[in-house]
Amino acid sequence: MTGRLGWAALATAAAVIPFFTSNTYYLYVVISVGLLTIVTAGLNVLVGFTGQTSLGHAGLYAFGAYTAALCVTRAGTSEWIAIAVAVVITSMVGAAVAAAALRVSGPYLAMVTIAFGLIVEGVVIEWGSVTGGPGGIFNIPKPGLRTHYWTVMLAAALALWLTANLRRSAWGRACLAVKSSEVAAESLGLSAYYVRIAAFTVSAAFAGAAGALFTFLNGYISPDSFTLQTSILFLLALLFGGLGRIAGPVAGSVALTILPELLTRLLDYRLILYGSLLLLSIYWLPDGVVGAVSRARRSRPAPLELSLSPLGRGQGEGAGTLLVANGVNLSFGGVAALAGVALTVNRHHIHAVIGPNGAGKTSLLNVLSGFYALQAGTIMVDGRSIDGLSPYAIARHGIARTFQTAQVFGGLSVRDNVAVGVAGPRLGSPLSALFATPGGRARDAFIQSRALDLLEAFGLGELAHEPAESLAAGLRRKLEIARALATEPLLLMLDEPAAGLSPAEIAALDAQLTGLRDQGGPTVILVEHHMDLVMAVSDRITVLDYGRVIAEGAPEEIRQNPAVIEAYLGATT
Amino acid sequence: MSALTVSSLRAGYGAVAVLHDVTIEVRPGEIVSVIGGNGAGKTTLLKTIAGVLRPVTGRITFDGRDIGGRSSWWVARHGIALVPEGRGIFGDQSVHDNLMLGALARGSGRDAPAVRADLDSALALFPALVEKLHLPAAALSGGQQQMLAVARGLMARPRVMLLDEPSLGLAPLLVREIFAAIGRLREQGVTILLVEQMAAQALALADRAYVLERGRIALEGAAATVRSDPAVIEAYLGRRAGADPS
Repeated sequence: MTGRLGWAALATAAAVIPFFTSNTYYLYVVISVGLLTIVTAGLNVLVGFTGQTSLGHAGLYAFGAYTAALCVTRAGTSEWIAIAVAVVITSMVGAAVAAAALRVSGPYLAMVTIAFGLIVEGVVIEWGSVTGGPGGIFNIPKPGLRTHYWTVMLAAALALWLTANLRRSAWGRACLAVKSSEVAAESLGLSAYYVRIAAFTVSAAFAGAAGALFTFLNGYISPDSFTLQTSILFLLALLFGGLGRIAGPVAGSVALTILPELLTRLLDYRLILYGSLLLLSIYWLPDGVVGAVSRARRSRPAPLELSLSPLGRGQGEGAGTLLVANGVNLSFGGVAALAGVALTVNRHHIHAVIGPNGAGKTSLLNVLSGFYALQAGTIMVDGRSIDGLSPYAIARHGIARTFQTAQVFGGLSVRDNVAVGVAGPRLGSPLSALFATPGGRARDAFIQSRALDLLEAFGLGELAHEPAESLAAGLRRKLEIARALATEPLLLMLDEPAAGLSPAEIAALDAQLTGLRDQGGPTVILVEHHMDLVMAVSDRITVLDYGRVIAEGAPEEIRQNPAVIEAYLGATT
Repeated sequence: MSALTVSSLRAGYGAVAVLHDVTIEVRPGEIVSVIGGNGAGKTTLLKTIAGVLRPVTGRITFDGRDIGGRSSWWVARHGIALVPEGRGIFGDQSVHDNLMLGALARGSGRDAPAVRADLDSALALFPALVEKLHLPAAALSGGQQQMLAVARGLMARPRVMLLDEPSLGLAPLLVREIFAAIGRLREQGVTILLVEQMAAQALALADRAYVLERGRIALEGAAATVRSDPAVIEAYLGRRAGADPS
């Protein structure tokens, strides 16, 4: 509620300024704030939502500016067509840069984007016949300052609205999921690479739009406006305002545009000022200005209610075996983790894999889910080989898993964690997410309600709107299972789901697992040390020791097997 | 005379309090067990004692000295070792180096022979670590990392050990061994505050116990008394409570 009032106040302020002043200087400053807001709103999608740093956005900004300038001066198009062309061209450039640069991430990506920015700057200076060289392009037809003021303000509002829509959509959740745990995101069928490219492309489109609008502010552009320092300013404004917050770009842009204007006499010390601001904001305002303001209050959306399709996508074709693995080998630097492991899992079964610590149980799950490449052997799931597939491709094949150390997506609520699983790779079009089309909203409402239903089934309904990182360890495990089930898998692989659960909670897990099987839910591979749970729910048990299968059979046989007793169970009383 | 007392403690994360009014006492040489459901605040209690979290209100005293709000390295140097949930091992460094880092917090017995002797006894407890001694800790399986975390805690030769679910992810044989090892630590005079979901085993070993529910102490007493409390059996020991825990 207070949030809405804040936005209304901001919009009113922007709308009345032209009526209170005829001084073009003020209009010019506010337009600069608007342009910076547009760029940082786009950068927020990349850095704030997806967790990838770019120090090359001035290069994209330059692409937008020069494209628009050339459209108007050379092709004689109107301002509007020039802006549209600039957005399209910059998006394409962004996608191409991202496809190459995003093979690396984090600090390496930052380095690659610096290189991109420097290349653009260099080309703009050297390619004089097109760009006008160091002098730039002059005499670009431009609209009146007041008209342009309204254009930029509306564009800035649009930019913020689009990012707010994106944040609420399946795309926004996918971005945050990739930022928080790439491994878990891939296990749900999301390609981290693809999601990052999409985020980079969106941020490039915003930078292109702002660049084009910048061209029509002054009527001339020159390479001086598109240096590495500009890229740093973009990132700084975002960090100062509040990374990942919708209003962050506004707060940061206001501060970083107006402050230097107030201190024009200190122009020579601008870099010192920026550097100090960055250090101060990281020390005092780790969540930015907006984060500091909104830390105290948390809004809680009302839960949605919709009907739910039955759990699971069934068991594929017919009965029989779902998974057949043979001769699976895996070694790390000469140490064999798995040596000729064979595993056959029947449909509708709960198949336990047990064994001493270090026997290779988790390694086996990592091979089955594609996190470790298969070094030798074959793995067939539902009649198809999964050899050589990446984790997200295997997840799309209907194999879901949990992790021994639960990988929940911090930064997302408990419900949104499950919603990432419900949507999986089916994110819809990024445009429908940005513009919050009715179809997109209906899909999203369905996704959210299905996520809530799953949470209810796992007794996490009350916690749906809590941040996932606030959950205790045992509850994170439950959340992870709910999220894996949300993908409607054929095969669900659980890595020690009962670790850290109390006996009462283990009894509940027991009921959930057998309930799933009885309702025709997914086949389950269960890695677990709690023998009473394993013995109670399993149809078959495979025992590993030192990377080899030492026993396989029904629970009763395993319990009596001397080799298993010696290696694992110990003498029972 | 208590080794460690916590009185009227209120603590949590940021503005959200997890512990509301917790008072516990751990006497020298005791094993005190804290049981409770997920989200009850057990881990928060250990983290606050260890100085990872700051108390909002309330006192924590150790040997008559107020240690509430001290930083975690200070607390570790003064003889309280936390074996955290989630292990917190140094993956890039070898198993051996992880153990030697544990010895950094030792107050006494920092000479090489004493450290060597403790290293040997830690490895005797977890023989699986011996053959991996010079591999990076990240190459260990999850259960072996848990062993490493407990062994590293022992290397600090602490006076008080805060164990947060030491049995997590361990195979049944090893669970029995680790509980036996905790018993042996008591014989060596180490005071232990034990958080465990395997409540039956923990209560069988402990001298006294506290039941934590939603950030408050719901029940306290001799472990045998707590173990036979009908509400505890119902909530934390499960229906198979009467049977052998294995």
